[in-house]
Amino acid sequence: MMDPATLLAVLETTLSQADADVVESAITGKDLIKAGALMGAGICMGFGAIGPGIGEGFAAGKACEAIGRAPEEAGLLTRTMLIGQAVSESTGIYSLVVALLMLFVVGV
Amino acid sequence: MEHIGERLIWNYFPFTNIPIPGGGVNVLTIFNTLVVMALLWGMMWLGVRKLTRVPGRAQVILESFVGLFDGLVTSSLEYPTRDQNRKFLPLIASLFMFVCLGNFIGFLPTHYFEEPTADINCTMSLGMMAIAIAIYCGVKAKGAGEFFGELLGPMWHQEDATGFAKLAGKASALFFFPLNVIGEVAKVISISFRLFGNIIGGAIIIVVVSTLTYNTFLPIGLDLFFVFFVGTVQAFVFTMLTLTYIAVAIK
Amino acid sequence: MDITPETWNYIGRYVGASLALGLGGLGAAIGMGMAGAEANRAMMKQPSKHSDLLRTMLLGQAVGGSPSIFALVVGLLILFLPVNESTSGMVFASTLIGAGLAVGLGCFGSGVGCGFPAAQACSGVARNPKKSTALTSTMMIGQALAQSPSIFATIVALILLFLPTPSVGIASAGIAIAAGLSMGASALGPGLGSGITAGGAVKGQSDWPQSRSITVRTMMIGQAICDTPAIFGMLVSFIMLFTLQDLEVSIIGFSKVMAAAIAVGIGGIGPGIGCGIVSETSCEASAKKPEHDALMLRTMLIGQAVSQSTAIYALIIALVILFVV
Repeated sequence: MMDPATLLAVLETTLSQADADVVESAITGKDLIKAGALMGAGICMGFGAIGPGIGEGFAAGKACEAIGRAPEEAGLLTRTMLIGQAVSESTGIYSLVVALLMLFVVGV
Repeated sequence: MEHIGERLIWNYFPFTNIPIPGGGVNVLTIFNTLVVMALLWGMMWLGVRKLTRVPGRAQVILESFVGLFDGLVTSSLEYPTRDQNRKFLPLIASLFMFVCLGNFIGFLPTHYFEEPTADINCTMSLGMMAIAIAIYCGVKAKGAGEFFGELLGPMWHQEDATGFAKLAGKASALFFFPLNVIGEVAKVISISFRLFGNIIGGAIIIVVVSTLTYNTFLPIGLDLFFVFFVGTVQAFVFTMLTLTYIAVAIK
Repeated sequence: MDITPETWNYIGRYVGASLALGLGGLGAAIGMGMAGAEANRAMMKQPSKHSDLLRTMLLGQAVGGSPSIFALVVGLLILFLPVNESTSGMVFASTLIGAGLAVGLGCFGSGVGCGFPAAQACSGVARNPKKSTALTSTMMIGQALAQSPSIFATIVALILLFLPTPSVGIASAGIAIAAGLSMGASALGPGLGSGITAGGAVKGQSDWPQSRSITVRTMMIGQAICDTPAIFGMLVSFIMLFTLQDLEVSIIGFSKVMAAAIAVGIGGIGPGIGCGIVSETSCEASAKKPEHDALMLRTMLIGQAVSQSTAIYALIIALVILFVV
């Protein structure tokens, strides 16, 4: 396990080796925090979208099956499906809110 | 390919130096919206010019189109009378026609015809219109108190609870209310970005691939898939979602 | 030890080719295995139909194997692409790794997905051998459409290999890997979902062969909507490849493109699979009751549209990361 100072130094040397003319300033802690916030937002929304996507698919799939069996109840079933999906989606909305918070509050 | 993502923006009124309020106007979007409207007017005028009891070809197409959407609106909204359902038919049918033709117009081979639906301003305003109409219809059908009371969550309304349970039910509104409001805003975002992302994605894919293959045979197939197939399906999805949001709000 | 540009070239070639061939071949192998297992099960029940079953299984595996062929072509290009002096080094290596990620992950999804219709076709042929021609053609249409995400991924990989990425120093390396990741990961879910849809359609058609045209229509529309997350991923990777000439040359620019790629790429997996589950049941139901097909189509479209909203949130976060923050 490297301590943060060594890690910074290693990152800096890697970056300056990669393109010595363009990287002029050293990486500061603030840069790292912003980079971390950006990555955090991406990971948060990316992985947070998996569960709700599959879950809403299950809800809608069952609704389709039920409507195939009882087409006369289509209105009721569609509404139930939409409510179920709205509830499953709330974790996706949490991810969205947290990602936006990271982008606009933490990582400024 | 360098012009991908560029927009022709007017920051000043033409021939003056008066700035346009709001930071500028996307000219091509407005121009193409007007073109789509003119095309729709022209098509409808040609279609209904000579209405006869034994319909001609154009009239058959129009009648089956209106009949299809009449059936969709009636089976979704489930108002008791036919006239109440019919009130939404012009909105839904013209929304579909506008979005569908707007998706098709990028097929015309000049730089001046861009899809108006590939601009987030256009789809976002259509989406806000859809949700605003849904909220208006919901308030009109249920009354403002009951409609906005639903935003406070299911535990706010329990009548038989007493004491601590009642208090907890009321306190749960603090949790549910922001979530439901965000959910309503998310509806606008998801309905408008779905259309925008699909249409602009298809347009960019067509531009990139046809530049890379020097405009040989491949772009025709891509146009058929992304412009006509995806365009029609997404226009239908947009219309159906608008209709469903209205149907959920009034029940 | 010094790391020379030569070393970077070798790293890129080996990692990129192993990602492309390993992941791409893995998916197709799983799909072919599913088809083979189902064919064996069916043959055990109906040994007299073995020639029909063998033909259906081989056809399904052959068509379902084409994603792995895309992966093979791109993998060989990654291994043997000639390098000129101006591009060699870290950026070249990350271009190769990006192409490998795109085609490997993209072909994984489509490869597994193509197995579902092949497996259902095998069990359907065993039950109803007279209808095997119609069933096989539905299977092939479904597999061809389930391969469209892997074709998107192949296009992005070829663009990565043959066109220069924007030259923004260290961030070009990030752009190349991120463009590959966003395309590849976002094609994974839609490939699987389209395959699940095609499986449902083939199952429905094998039980109710008379409603074939309605089933195929429902399947095609469902698969087109399943592809939406892949289109979003392709949009983001094109934005990265063609419009980011003024990205920050620092660790912030690097993490910007990587974060956008992770958001839209990984975020597309779930919605793609979910949409596939919706259209699977809807295909079966509209095969069972073709007189209610308009109702089924409407319900399917609404259900899929709502299932996709998290992919749309992921697209928004990616665009905000790239253009606003």
